[in-house]
Order: sequence, then C-alpha cells, then structure tokens
Amino acid sequence: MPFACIALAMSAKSVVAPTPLQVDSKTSGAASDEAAALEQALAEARGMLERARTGYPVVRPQAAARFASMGEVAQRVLEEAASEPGGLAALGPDVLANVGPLFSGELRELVRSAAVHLDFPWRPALVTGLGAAAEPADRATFHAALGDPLAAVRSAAVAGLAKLEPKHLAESADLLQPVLVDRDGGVRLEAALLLDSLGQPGALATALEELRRADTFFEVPTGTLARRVAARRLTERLAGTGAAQLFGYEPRNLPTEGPNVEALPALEAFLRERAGEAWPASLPAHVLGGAIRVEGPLGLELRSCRAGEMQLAITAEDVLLIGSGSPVAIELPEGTGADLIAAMSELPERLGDDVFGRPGCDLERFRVQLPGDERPRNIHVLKGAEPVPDLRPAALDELAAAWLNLFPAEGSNPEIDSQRERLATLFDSIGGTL
Amino acid sequence: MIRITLTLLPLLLVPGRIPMAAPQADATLAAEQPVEIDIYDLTDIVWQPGDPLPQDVLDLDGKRVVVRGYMHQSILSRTNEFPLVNDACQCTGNLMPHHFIEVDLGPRETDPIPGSFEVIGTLDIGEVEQDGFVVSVYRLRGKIY
Repeated sequence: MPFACIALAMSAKSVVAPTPLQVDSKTSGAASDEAAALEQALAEARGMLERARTGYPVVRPQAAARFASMGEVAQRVLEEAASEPGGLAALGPDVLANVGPLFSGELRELVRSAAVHLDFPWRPALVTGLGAAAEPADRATFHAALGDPLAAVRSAAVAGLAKLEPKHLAESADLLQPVLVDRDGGVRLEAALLLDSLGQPGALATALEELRRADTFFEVPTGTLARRVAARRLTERLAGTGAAQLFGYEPRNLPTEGPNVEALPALEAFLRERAGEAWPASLPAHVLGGAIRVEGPLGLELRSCRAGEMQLAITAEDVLLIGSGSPVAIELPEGTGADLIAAMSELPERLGDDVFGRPGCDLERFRVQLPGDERPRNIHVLKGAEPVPDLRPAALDELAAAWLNLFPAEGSNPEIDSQRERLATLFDSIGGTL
Repeated sequence: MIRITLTLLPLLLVPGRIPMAAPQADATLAAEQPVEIDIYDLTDIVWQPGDPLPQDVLDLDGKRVVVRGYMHQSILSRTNEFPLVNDACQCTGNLMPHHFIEVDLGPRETDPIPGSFEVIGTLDIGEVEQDGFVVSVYRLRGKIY
C-alpha cells in the first residue's frame, strides 16, 4: 500500500469524542462554558490547520507555526487530521515541517515510519519537523534517513541528530563519517558542523571547502549558493572564537577575489591550529572546492520529491558530467553529443510545446541547443507528488532513453551502474517508465 | 564501443561568474539605469516576521532593479502577479515572506514560466500584513525582462 494512503489508526474515543481538556469544574454551568470554550478552541485550531494546509503559500508556514503553538488542542486536531483519508501526506510539507513539537505517542511512531518510507512524498519536511523536537528515541530514524536518496532528507537527518545532546550520539559519530564525503555539499557541511560539535574539529576541513566553491550548473550559480550557506553556518559555529567573522570572508565574492584572498588562508590556519593533529592530511577530490562550470549543448535536470535529484550535461568535448560542484565525468566517444543533437533536430516540431504537465515538486528539464538556436531550449515535464500516467510525450521518451543509453551496460563500474540506476529510477518516478 | 573513464574533472577549469552588482551610489544614475541584484541578497537573510531588515537590504527600497529568479510552483494559470523565488523546485516547502519577491506586472499577464527569467521594475521593501500574517517583504512592480 502506498504510504501516502496510510493514516493514523486512532481510536474512536480519541478522534470522534475527545475527552474534554482541563474540565474540572463542579458546576454544570461552568462545565458547559468550558465545553463551549473547548469547542471554540478546537474550531480555531482546525481553521488554522486548514490555512497551514491550503492557504496562500506564504501564509502556510506561519499558520503552521501558529497552529503548533496552540498546544494540546492542536495536538488533538493534528491526530484527528492524521487519521483521515490521506493521512500524514495530506497534511502537506508546510504543516509537517513546523509541527514537530506535536508529534507524540502513536503519531510520532507514524512519523518515524513515514520518514524512512521512500514512497512518502514529504520526507524532507517530515524529517525537519521530527528534528525540530528531536528525542533520543528518534536516533534510529535519523540514522536510516542518512541514506535517503534526497539530499534534503539527509541534511535534515543530520540537523535532527544535532538537536540531541552529545551523550546520545556515541553511535552517530561513526555513522556520520561516510556522510562527511556525501556527494551533496550541503549534507557534507551539516555533517562537518555536527562532528565538530562532537569533538572532531578536523571535520571543519570539509566545511572550509564549501567556502572555496565557484562552480556553476548552466545558469545556476551552485558554488555561490554553497558559499552563502557555508559562510552563515560556519559563522554560527565559530561564534565566540577568534574566527567569528571568518576573517572578513565575503560569500558574494569568488574565493579568489577581494577579501577572500586573505580570509581563506587565515581561516584555514585558524582551523588547522584549532584541530591540531585531527586536521586531515587530505580530502577526497569531490569534496574539494573548485570552479567547474557545467555547461554544454545538452543538459538534463531531474528532481523528484520521492526519488531524489540528478543533474547531467554533455559538454562540447563529449564528456558526460553527472552532478554539480565536482561532477563525475565520463568520457564519451567523439561525436556522441553531435549525433544526439542531430537525432533531435525535429524535436521541437514533434513536441509542439515546451511544457508538459503542471508545476509541482517533480521536474524533468531537458536542455537542448539545436543548430541555429541562439540559446538552449528548456523542455519541461512537470508534476506534483501524485503519479500522472503518460506524462512524458513519445518524442521526449526517445531523448530520455538516449540519455540512459549513454551509460555502458551494467557491470562495467559500480559507480556508473549506480548513476545509471538513479537516472532510470528518476525517469520512472517523474515522466513515467521508458 | 563507448570508452568510459571515471574521473573527476581537474579543479579550476574556468572561473565562476557571479551575477551580482553593488547598488549604485548615484541616485540620479539609479533612476535611469536599473541595478542588477542577486535575488539571494534578499532571500538569504536570517529573518522572522517582526525582525528589522538588514540595512543593505533596506538600501534597495525604491530602486529600479533587474533580478533573475523562478516563478513559484503555486502559479498554475495566466496571471499578472506571482512570487519570484530563488530556486527552481521548492521541494521542501516553507515559503517565508522574505523568500520571494512579489511581482506585479500591472496590466500585462504571463503564462506560468518554468526555468529562470529576469524581471525589471521598482523594488518596494517592507512587511505587508493581511489577516495577521506577513504576506510579503519584497514587491516589484515592473515587467518580465
């Protein structure tokens, strides 16, 4: 059964006829007043939850936070909502990310289960919510979520662990070591900060590399975004030390520009001295900050709220790049990109449109620059969390299959096999099976 | 046969390009020429409703600007108003008031636009509340560039 359909199996007593809250009056009149007040409070909480679920997008998280602050009444309403058809998934990401303090009892068990169920569509929000009010008993959930295909879930899992007291994290430190070399820079950063707080200051070598990124993925300044997040988080982490202002580091500037020219070596020297012998002798190549610009005549970006995300490009030199930051590179036979472009020459006419489906959390973005095009065409396949049959048109199926066929047959290399499997899973999850 | 070499690209192949320009100091020039701003300079601040906005953000109030971003995924039909956000996907929800620029195209309408694009217009900065909730911090009246 899809997890999206699983609801909280609450008892009739707790859902349909809730026990009055704090009704201890000895007079029937007063009891009646309190019952009326309770009904009003429940109605207000239900109204606020509805605004948090379906209101104007910018109102939803504010309404969710206000709902969460309503305490016991909100908890009852939340359990009631989670037991309705659609269950947790119907609450939506804004609610789930903001009502963590209300997860208790059966509901918390359901949340823990959903957080690691790959069919649940709002795992980043759910793990964020769980982490906001993390309990030691949540550790197993966070540990399992460290292996989620979604980087946002892995980040949220590390952040959830970071909310626990260090005495509860003895096992977690070992489990965080592979996260320190995660393919996603944001996940590595969170792991580095947590390990530093657990007495492993050498982990900040990884965080430092995020400040050295200057990479791009087509028009997206991925390196700049990484620098901004890393500068903010490191500033928080190093508050009260001699490096509180990161020696004047400015994330808007390239690592090789302006104040960063002197700030980065000064910060590294500070962190090295702070870590002593714990400072790593070397770091894996993909962790090192670089300035790779991923671009070319063919690009592909896939994002699925269930299955994760993937970025690919074929350069003019026939190199297949997978990921941003320090991408995996696969050399293709000369002319592969040109052949693919030639095969797609009639694509615009066959498609007749550039957008298929409706915007949501799932996206396939094909970038194709055909001869004569001034700029790349972006062809989009879009959907929300629910499956949409026959979403990707046949002509795009051919292009998707061509991307998949760039990878060699299974068994040539575990890393490449893994990337091919990810790509096939994402195509299945978004536009449909090829 | 496809030749495969699994490797990592050498670092520092090409320097990155940052689409960011500092606000113009000359008010006269600013009135004539739009200032190119990075949407992250607005949306990446640490802020909660009721907090004061950073001075460098407030300095952009009333300025004519060009800014690149994405239409929020909640826009499903033709419209002349939409939130401009800094990310194409917005998978994780939680659109806070400072996470977007509320764009008003006036009489012009647009279909939903996937992918990034630029908007040019005059920036209005400050909290606007409706029904007890902050519904915007940044507003831009202008046109798609």
